[in-house]
Amino acid sequence: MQKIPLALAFEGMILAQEIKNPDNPEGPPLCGKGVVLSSSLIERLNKIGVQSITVEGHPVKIEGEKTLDEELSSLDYRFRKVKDDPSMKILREIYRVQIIKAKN
Amino acid sequence: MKNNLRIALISKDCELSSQLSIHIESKGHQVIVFNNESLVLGYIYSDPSDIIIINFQFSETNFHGLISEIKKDCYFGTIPIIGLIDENTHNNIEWKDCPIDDFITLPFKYNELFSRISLAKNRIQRIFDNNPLTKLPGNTSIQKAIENTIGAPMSVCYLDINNFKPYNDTFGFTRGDEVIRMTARIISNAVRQTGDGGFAGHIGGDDFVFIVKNESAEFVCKTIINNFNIIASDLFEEEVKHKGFYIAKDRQGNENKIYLLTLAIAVVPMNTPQINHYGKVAEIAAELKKYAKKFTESKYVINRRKR
Amino acid sequence: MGNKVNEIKRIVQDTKSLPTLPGIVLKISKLAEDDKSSVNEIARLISSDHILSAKVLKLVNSPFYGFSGRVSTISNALILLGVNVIRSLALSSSIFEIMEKSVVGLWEHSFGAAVAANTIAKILQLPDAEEISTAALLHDIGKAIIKIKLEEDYNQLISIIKEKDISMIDAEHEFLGTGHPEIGEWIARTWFLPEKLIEPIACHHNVKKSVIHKTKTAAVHLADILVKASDFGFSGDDIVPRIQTEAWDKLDLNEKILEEIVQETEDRLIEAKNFSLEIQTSGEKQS
Repeated sequence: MQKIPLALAFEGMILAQEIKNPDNPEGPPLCGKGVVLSSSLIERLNKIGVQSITVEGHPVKIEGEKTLDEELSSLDYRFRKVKDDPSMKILREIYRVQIIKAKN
Repeated sequence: MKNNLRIALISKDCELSSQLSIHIESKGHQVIVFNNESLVLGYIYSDPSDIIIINFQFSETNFHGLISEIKKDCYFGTIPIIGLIDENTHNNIEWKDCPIDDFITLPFKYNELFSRISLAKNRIQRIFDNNPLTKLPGNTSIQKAIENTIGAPMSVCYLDINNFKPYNDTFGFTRGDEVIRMTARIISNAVRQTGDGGFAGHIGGDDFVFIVKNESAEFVCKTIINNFNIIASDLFEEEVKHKGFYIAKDRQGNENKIYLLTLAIAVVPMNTPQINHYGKVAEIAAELKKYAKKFTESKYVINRRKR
Repeated sequence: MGNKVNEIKRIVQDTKSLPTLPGIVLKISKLAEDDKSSVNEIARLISSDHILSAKVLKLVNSPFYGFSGRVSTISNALILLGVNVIRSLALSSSIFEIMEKSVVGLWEHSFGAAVAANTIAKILQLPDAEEISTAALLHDIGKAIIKIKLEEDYNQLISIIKEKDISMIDAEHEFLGTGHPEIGEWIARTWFLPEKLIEPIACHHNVKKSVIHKTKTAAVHLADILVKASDFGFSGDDIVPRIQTEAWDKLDLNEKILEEIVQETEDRLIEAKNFSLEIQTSGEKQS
């Protein structure tokens, strides 16, 4: 999934997370997970003052954003002091799967 | 007068502040100077001073918000506030909205200021019958408050803590006092949160009284019960919390199951002909309480009888 | 070395308050304008900030109120102090003039740890989830003291970390003769915070040392590791430490449950990131 500014949203994107009402974040969400965006919905969200949304996949290329390879090597780098610890191998693997999933 | 008073001074006039500070400090007291009111409350709440002096001169605000915030909170309301006022300001002050304890006219003599401080401190101690443990108003104030609401669309609510005495006996009075203080805070915060006045007082022991508008009564009772349950459950060990009781000796020395702390509240609306004097309120409340106490959970009961 | 430790102890003794991010205070002041603003919303904002939370807990546990150091969560503090008191306390907080990267990074790390700890507590069904999040929120309060009160030493530490490729805590022991868990413990004791919060703060790098609150300490220890593994925020170094055996055993972890915890935490950290960006930009607008 990817979080994008609402200005970059377009029709057909699928919400990966519900959208909270900026005026009442504790209240019911404006829009549920899995909803497919339409142009009128985007317009409405814009009027309500929603700044950003989280969508499925990775539809927008943002400058300065790390590539999958960069993300994975940065993960390995963070785990450099615990390379041989068995439980930390497990944890690193869990994160590797997470990162790959988030990029697709 | 206590020798080392801590005095908060709120004044825009820097020259006056520094001169006053020198005089106050020369008497062995401590001064904290604020040149605007925005930081005062946070300071008073985290580290209360013994006296507050407010200079009304050169100020755009009337300090109304600040003064009423302090005076409305039972913990801080007993800090004497003294105003420094010049000749011209006298007519502009609406004393009803400005519940300060004393004032002194500028320019003033330092000796007079120190006498005023001492007088204000002593007067507050004389007038207030606040309970030393909870700082809530005591019986004289309670009686007055109840008498003032006879016939009004207000509810007088009597509250006590179920199973408090065995708790106090089992865990010691320090823990017991803590529960009383917490209950007092819970009640006065809930009453205050309604935003339309109200009253909270401490009869003594685990008996409290609060007064709110009829239409807020149920909401306030629910808030108090809900908050009390959250706070009280933190007082017991995980295991006791789970079981819902503990074993302790009762007043006769027998081992007994003691249930956790809960509340019983009797709500008496005052605008019924049945209630014509102070004593009648307590009498009805006692009856309602007896009923409320039949339950193992916290309960409030409202007097619905019209005659 | 002993002198340095004594100097730090003295500084901790004299620390009455710490500055926080302008964005948080601004948000609370906006809420405060609206008299009917929800109590929960104020509680949520305060619970995201390690400095404000410490401040509120310091107040409610101060001898003045007589609750003898028992209150360990923000929601309980809110019940006992009342909204008005908490609001004024937050609004009178001093704020950072400049939003330094390391300050924001430490704030994010602390907030992220609280989010992770809350997830851990919920998934493992540990009692007192809110207490565990609060302990995680405050776990690096010692680092905040170093950063704010010992700025030069902090900068030294950062260059030692880069130069020798060691962790913050190792650098602290080498250069200061003590570590942020100890410093955090001192400030927590000076501010009368409850033991339930002190132990996780003091032992989050050494779970074995904890005596009474081992489960809470283990949860905070794991939460700290997860936010670092996730690269969320900045806590002084970029080294993920090992999950200590005591913590693994105490929490009864296994691969499957760890996976569930990581997944849920990552999900919630995205929201946390959004919130953080919001706080950072609203802080900028003000200046």
